[in-house]
Amino acid sequence: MSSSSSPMQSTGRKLKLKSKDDETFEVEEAVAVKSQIFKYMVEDGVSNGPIPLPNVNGKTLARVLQWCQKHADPTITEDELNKYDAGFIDVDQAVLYDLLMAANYLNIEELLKLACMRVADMIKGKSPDEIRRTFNIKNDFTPEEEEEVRKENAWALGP
Amino acid sequence: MVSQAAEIMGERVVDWSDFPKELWSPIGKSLDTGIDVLRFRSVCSSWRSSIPPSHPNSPRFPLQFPHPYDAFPTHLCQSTIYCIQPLDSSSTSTAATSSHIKGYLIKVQESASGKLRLLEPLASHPIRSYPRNTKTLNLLNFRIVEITKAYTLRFGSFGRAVVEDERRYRYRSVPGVNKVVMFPNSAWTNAEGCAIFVIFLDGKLGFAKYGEDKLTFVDDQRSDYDDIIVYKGQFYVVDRLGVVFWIECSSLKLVQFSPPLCGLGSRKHLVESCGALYVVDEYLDKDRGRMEGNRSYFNRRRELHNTIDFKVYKLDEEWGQWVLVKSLGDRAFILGSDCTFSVSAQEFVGCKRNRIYFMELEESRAFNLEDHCIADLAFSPDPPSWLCATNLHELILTT
Repeated sequence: MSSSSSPMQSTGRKLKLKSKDDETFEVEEAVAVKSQIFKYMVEDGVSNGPIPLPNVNGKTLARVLQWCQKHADPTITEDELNKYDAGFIDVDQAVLYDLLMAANYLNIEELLKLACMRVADMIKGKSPDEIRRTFNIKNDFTPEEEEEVRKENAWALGP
Repeated sequence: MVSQAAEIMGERVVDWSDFPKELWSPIGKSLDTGIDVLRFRSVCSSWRSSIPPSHPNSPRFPLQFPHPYDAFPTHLCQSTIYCIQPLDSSSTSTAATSSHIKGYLIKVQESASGKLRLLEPLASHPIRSYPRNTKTLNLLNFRIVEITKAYTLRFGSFGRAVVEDERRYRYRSVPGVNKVVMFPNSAWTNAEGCAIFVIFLDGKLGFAKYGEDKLTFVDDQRSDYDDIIVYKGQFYVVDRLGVVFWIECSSLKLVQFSPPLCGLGSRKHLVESCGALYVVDEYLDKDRGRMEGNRSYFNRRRELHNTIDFKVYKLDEEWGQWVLVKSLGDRAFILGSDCTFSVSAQEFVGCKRNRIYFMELEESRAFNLEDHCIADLAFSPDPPSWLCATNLHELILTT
């Protein structure tokens, strides 16, 4: 997702959003359009009344909007943005999960990418068993797949 | 699925089984080492089907590669240096080093027969005391992290001749090749885009794209390049004076990246540590001198040069100047035969902090930055028992 080619217009127009637990948020259009969902709504002129977001709770929406705000700021440098992102995504599993779901639902590509990389960091270096325990995943391989996995994870040593 | 809802290090455990399956793909694609992709695909059925094992056109080794200064058929081998650790005995481990068992550094090289050789990371000898009757290593029993990749140039064209040589333990490295680097080299790399650089003889710099059969000379007026490294996704080369250049790959133009080091050592090495670029200046007891042509190079090599000192410099990129580093702190630098890297010493068996581990002829040595003393010790201790013992239960004879 790239910010629009024309400079950010502070039309002052705001979008009203309502989280699933009935918290309302007011956010500038220029910030909200980081989400492709809102971008299309704004372009199609459908932005009367609060937009209900039944899949996102208030706490998560607040976080997401804070991220969008930072990323819509034209004065911030790339270095500062990277530092901000590193701190932003350094959260526990539960918050990360909610952020992932929200970024996916609201179609915010950069935030989704950031969250995905964080999950990848949680996977790096671990054995498959440890990964399963971290994410509470069940081993559901068929016997054929299990055999494939066993073979792939065996280093054949030789001269 | 019963969610234990246990407090693990103060975190609520989340049940990811409801996670949208299509999101595992971008997560898997964010992993860039072959070993992490392998692990990802070994977790469960939906993860396995969400990403392929690698790019369909991944670089394949051994790779036929032009001999830098002669006409013999040669090929490039890739090795990977890993940190290997036993699984934590406790059922919950989120921190990487929560286990108090230190990791072991190994170098794994793919042989022409497809089998893997376990080598010492510094000298690249086969691990001497590794039980000979161990045929496979079951990776599911370990935590494995890739540290870096290393490349060597060997004689022989690809095929049966090389397999035969290897079976007889004849690994003939091409002499006069100082360093080979390739980039990119992640799990998702398309071989088409790979660039390979070689420093050979007295410091000539050569370049070839993956699959090319001719070497292009970079800056052929000069032959005083000491080392080359991939740093932050770009190629950097250092010359005898300690000037670091960035290489612009499409034009093979060298752009000066640092001022001269004004170090009085004879040989410069490039090392990355904690995201910063370092030059290690190696002092020899005899001046290497200027060398012209192949013959004088090999004549020179027969004179023994002893390393007597090291100085380490860090590049302060903001001010564009070199800063002398008095101590590496908890880090150790490893100057291997075909790669350089740094580690946090306390995490590894047999690794001491504030040391530079290097090769002198065929021997491994350790330089202590604190007292400038060089110890004549083997960098690689015997493989720990947990690396050997478990395999006796998994003795699988491979065809």
